[in-house]
Amino acid sequence: MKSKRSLAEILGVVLGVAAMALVVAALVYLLGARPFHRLRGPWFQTWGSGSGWGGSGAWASEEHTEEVSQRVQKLSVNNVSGPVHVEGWDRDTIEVHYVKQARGQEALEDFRIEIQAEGDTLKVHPVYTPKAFRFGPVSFDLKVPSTLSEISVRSVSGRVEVRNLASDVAQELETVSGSIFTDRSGDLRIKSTSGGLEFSFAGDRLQAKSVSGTINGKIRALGRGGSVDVETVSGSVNLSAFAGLDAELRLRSVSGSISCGFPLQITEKKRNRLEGRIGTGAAPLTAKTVSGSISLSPLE
Amino acid sequence: MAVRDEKLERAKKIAHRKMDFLRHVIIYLLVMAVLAIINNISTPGSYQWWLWPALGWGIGVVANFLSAFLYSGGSLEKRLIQKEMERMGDEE
Repeated sequence: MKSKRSLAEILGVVLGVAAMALVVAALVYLLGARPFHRLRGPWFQTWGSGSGWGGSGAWASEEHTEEVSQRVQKLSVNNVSGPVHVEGWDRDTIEVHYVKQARGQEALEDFRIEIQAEGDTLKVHPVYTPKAFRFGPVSFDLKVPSTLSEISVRSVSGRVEVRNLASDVAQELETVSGSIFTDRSGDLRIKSTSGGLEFSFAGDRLQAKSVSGTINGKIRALGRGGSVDVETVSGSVNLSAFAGLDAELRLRSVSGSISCGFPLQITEKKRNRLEGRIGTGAAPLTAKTVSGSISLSPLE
Repeated sequence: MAVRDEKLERAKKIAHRKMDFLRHVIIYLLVMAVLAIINNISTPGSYQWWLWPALGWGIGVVANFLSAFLYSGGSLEKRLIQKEMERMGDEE
């Protein structure tokens, strides 16, 4: 006698067949076969010409220079991939030079660079169309008046470099993967997840953070109400400071040496910790690392 | 009595496998639907990346389907068991 199938069994068979159909459809789509041609995204549209993601097509690039004459006080650059160089000059205008790259000319059209002044801020960033899947790196070279009041540069992947600005320009520099360098800055927030930091600071507030990277910094001046907070997880912290540094010092390294070249009134000294006062201890200066050494020495 | 117990155990095992598969395939289809919706809302008409997990996970689901419905207590297995039992009977 043949047994009747239960509803759960029928459902199981139907869903099983549906799952099989989905797997076959996925396979056909991902291999780029004909019945799914119309569904295919931009990646496969160029697959045949060898310029898709993973293909062996040549990189196409587009270079452009734009001069912005509108007076602004602040600059904000947001980039996804590629280096950003900002350099101060003695003109009042801002020059934005960029090179954008992508695999194939068509992919190059999938994103554009927006340069727009909003209020007293000039904003520069790439804008991607919804179908953009194959964008490549954009490298920025900006020339800005060295007397701007503030600059902010954020990037996901790429080195950030700032040179030749006045020493009181507040800077906020951030990248996820890449190193950061600034040769002169006022108040400074500098952060990289994977990459070293190098800076020269003269302001009230300094915050430097990295997860994996060495921090090399010069503190040329520090306001009385100011603070210094330097932190990395895997890497050393090497700071040198002006001779008149007046700070409450807190240095911590989990596995590394700690050294201080300033005359210090020590309040606590342990293998992985050094706390004390330089001068009257007017400004807190904290440096931490998990794996690496910490040194604080006078500027030469 | 022993034969009845054995049958019950086998039936339980097969039912358990089928229920496991049913849960698996429902979760699979729901997750894929969510991924497909995210893919097509965030970047309409663009590359269907959700088909990658659909393919990878789908292979597992299909394997589960085959083992739950075609091979456990299926006609092939039944025939093999019957054959083995007949052989044992001949030896006795």
